[in-house]
Amino acid sequence: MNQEMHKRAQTLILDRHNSAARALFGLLGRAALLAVTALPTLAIIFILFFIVRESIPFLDNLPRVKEFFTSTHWAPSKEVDPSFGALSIFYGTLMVTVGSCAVAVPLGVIAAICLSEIVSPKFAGIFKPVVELLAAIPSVAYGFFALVVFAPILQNHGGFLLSALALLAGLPACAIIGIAFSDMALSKMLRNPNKNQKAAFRVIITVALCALPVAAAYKLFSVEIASGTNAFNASIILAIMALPTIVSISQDALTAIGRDMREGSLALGSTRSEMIFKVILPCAKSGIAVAVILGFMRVIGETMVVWMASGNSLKIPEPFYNFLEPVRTLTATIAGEMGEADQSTGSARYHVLFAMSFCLLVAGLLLNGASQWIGSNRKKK
Amino acid sequence: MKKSIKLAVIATMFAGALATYAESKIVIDGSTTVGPISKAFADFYKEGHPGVNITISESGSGNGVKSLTNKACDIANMSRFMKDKEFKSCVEKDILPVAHVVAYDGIAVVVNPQNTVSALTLAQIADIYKGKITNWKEVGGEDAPIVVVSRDTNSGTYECFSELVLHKAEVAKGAEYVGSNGQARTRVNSTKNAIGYIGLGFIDDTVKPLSVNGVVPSAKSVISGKYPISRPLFMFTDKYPKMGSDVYNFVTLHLTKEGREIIKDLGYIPVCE
Amino acid sequence: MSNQIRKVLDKSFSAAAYCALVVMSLTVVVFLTPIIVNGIGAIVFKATVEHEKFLMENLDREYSEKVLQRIAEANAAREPLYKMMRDYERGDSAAYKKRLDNGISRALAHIESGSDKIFALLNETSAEARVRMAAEFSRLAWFEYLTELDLAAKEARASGNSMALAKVLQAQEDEISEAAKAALNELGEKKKLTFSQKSMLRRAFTHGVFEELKAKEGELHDDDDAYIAVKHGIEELLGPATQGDKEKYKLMRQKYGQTRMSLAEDVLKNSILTISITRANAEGAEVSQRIDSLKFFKNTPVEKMLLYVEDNIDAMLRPHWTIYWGFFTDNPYDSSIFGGIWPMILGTFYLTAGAMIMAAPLGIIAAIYFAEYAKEGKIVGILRMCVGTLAGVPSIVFGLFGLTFLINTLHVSDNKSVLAGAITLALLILPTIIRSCEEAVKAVPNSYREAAAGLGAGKWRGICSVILPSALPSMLTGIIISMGRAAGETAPIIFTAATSTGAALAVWEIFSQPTPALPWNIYNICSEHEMADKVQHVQYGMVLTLITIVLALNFAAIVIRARMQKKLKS
Repeated sequence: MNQEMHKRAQTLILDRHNSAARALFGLLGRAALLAVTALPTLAIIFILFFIVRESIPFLDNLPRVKEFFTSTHWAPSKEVDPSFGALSIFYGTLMVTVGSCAVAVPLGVIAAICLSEIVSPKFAGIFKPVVELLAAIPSVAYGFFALVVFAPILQNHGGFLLSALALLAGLPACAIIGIAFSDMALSKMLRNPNKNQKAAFRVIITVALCALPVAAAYKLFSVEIASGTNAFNASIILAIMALPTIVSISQDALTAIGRDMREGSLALGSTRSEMIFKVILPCAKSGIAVAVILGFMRVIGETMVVWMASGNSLKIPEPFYNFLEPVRTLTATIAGEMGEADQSTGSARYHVLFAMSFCLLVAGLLLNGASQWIGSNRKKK
Repeated sequence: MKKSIKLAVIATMFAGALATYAESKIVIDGSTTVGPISKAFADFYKEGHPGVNITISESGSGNGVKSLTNKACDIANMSRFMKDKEFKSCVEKDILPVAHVVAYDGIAVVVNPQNTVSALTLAQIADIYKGKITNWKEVGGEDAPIVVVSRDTNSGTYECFSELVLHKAEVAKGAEYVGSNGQARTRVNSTKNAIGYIGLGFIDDTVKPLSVNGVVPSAKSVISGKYPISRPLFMFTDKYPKMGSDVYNFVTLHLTKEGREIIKDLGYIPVCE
Repeated sequence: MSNQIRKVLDKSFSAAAYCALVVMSLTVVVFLTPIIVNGIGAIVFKATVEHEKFLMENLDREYSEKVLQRIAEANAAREPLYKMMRDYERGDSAAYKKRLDNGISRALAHIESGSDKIFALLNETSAEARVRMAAEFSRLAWFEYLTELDLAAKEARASGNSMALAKVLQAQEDEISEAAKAALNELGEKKKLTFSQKSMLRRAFTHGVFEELKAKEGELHDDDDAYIAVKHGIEELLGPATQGDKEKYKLMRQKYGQTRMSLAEDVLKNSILTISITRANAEGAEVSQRIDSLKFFKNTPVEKMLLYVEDNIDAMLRPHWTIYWGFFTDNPYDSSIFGGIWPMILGTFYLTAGAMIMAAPLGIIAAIYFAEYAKEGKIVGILRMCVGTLAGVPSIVFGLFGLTFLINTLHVSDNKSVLAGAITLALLILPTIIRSCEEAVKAVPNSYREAAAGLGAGKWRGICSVILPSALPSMLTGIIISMGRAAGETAPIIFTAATSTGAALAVWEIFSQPTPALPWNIYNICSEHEMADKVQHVQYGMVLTLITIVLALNFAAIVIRARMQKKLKS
């Protein structure tokens, strides 16, 4: 190693050009560098500009823009009087995003907390590949899984799956809440409860509470899912895709907090979970917010999974929270209509796709700006 | 190591730039219904002409005509005729589209094999797709909501179905859209209460074809005219291809005996016997 | 809150946290298991002799004696089945012969006047000769042949062209088998018949047979339909019965039986033991129905055939485990039903390599500029924001841009091409590369820069000799991970580079020709393919291949980083 450094130092020391020539060379080189850098950045700006420019002919027309955002009637290929009401498509995007983040954010944040606080660093290092694995899998593989494996399961065993999920998620949660609540209530009622009273009370309240998920499971068991490709399918798969982003960025934010915070809190007698909830999380909340926003961005921009597995139906589900119905998203619409729309054969049809891209761009811009702002706020602190 | 990589890259690009336009190719784009015919023709043609690279994309009739307009393909497969607007924009861009009818095809309305309904009238099918009939029990089946599966708007099959069955009425709001014949068939196969429409060549044991107005879809019933939903399948080229060129040989394959046999074996109906 | 409760809450939170990790790991397992299991099933599977026949005849694979023997044994096991089918189609031999005999007798009555001599001759014809002739007409194929011949004769007669009629009659002579010819010649020799008399004789025989068979046709219609469905099923399972049939077929899928045992069992279940026939239902409308063949053909010879197929399917197909490495190196045949996925793998390689070649140098230089030269001003801030925004733009928007700008406006190529697709992918991964390279450069400790400056190096020299090499591992990692992303992206290449069918491109063809690529073909084959259930193994195989490529790239990146870090640290 020393030899290498020595060699390198030699080459550097031999850099004995005439200082004027070197200055000129430096300037030219810098200009050249700027030019070369400008190329990709210009390309990037040009793409943004191109999208905005091509969407203007659609956005120019005010009544059409109003229809775009408020009507659910989407029929762009009609020859006479085509309609471009994209409300159901926006709603589909919203539904799938909200659904997937509702699953991914709690799961991801808790997993990140676990990795940074609860398990040993060695184990966290071993678990890292699992998270990176999930991140590296291509989206079309997820879409394939959603369409070929998950959709038939939902289709044929939907009720069973949903009730199993209700039990799996509900029973532990209710057990925990039941035990905690029973202890709290008991301690409020009796001054010094003995073991038997405690145990009995715990059992009663826990069993009572657990009746909730069991009832839910029973009701869900008989649900017939009409079609396996629906918002639920897409949401679950998108949640899996967003998890790695949320987990890794949250984990970074959590581990960046200094040890002194943790030790101080523990010294004051808090349990580990109290330390996490009352000290660490508030500290890391901006980092976690950034993670959630990035997860959001990943989900909004996903094309293949929703194209293959969300059903592509133009109706807003009824009731509005019914995830078991098919929906259509913006990205799937662009992918589906892209081939036929052309500058010459139907200008509105062509420009509306750019209008949708523009909306996605704006959403991305806002989210990106938000995450940067939160990130910079954190730095200020 | 870096230097040799750089040299290799530059050399490759040079060679590529020099020898770019030497190969022979046919670029085909368009309908998923005509796709299997093109693919089988391509396999057959390549046996006799091994140097030709035939690439086929199946993204819908609308995409096919659009590629032809942009001079991005040599042959556009379409399962419907060109619309006026499309024709005009072709002509404006100096392209004269010439239609070659390669086969006839029927559109079969299919349901899941477990569905008890086996026959419907054309009017009932239209009502189902328009959303007026929403439950299978209204047409003699079980009490279950009908899952309506339709094709994307860039599909020629959709256009023909819309014209012949729906008479250009709009499809029901709650219908699900799929992008190809194959996808429609998979959806119907995996969804118990689904109904969909596919080309004749896509019927197999995984779906049950309904008899429409008392006629079961088959090559025989389409030829005899008894089956009410049938249409020709086209390949469009830019002007009539030069005799003896690869494109010419390809689009006239359906006139040869082997071509007709291929079309028949695939389940379509050859134009001439 | 009492301590007890706090402890309980603490423990339960830990439990919940562990649960989250378990759920994540389970997700990975649940996701990867079916793909790995079924994907490996594309390469390691129970193959039948049809698979080996296909490889021998189309891909020139050489096979050992053992394999050839296996093929011979399988063919031998099929013989009894084919014999049963021939006997059935021929009908009960004695009855069929009688039928033909009746037909011939009736035909003799149709011979035109002026040929009483012929009539007398034929009457004297020995029964034996007639039986021999009748045996030759007994294959079902004769029915179609006779139909065609009859049509041709009608046309010739209608055209009034005696030469045409003579040609048709000559064609008949060419078609009649040796024994029939021998019988006729023998008769002709004995009775010294002229050419036209012999032709009329032949005509009488064929005509009579045809009429007779036609009369029986209607009766056998329904049964025939069902039998024909079973026959198609058997052909789908085992392939064409004779070489003649095989040459008749143009599609590859009809020239061979099932190559995979799992598909063969499906065919047995869905196309032989249950069949679809068209029948009239209660209201009189014609409907298509699925029926159980064993029940339908109970107590008929066909039942014996079905039971033979069911019992002897292993003997007829000789399934055995095999590893088909050709899955990765062979071209696909007949819509991927046979063969492998080589063009897709090559296409993915071209696209990824092209994207990296274009994006990496530009990205590195831009990152160096941002990290070293750019002063934090408004312009640079805007540039950074653009890069950041574009990193979050959906990939489909890149595809849209690639289609409308690169292909339709700029015409980088006449039609879809690898070049356009690679440019689009390069634009897609550029922001990520710029970001990660910038961070890699920033992560180089300032001491390195100061050391370089201290030794008298100019800024550029310092960058080239000191900063780049030390930032290289991280940069390389970021670039390779971006390559993995580019390899797996579908939306940008749908309309710029990917086709569903095409040949493996040579390097100089990538500038003007499109190519199949793994991500697009995965989508295509599981949604648009016309025989999706027959090619499920190919779907899983492609997904497994794509995931393996991407994961291998990521793994390589990690290994490179670890190695180079070790090297620099030492």
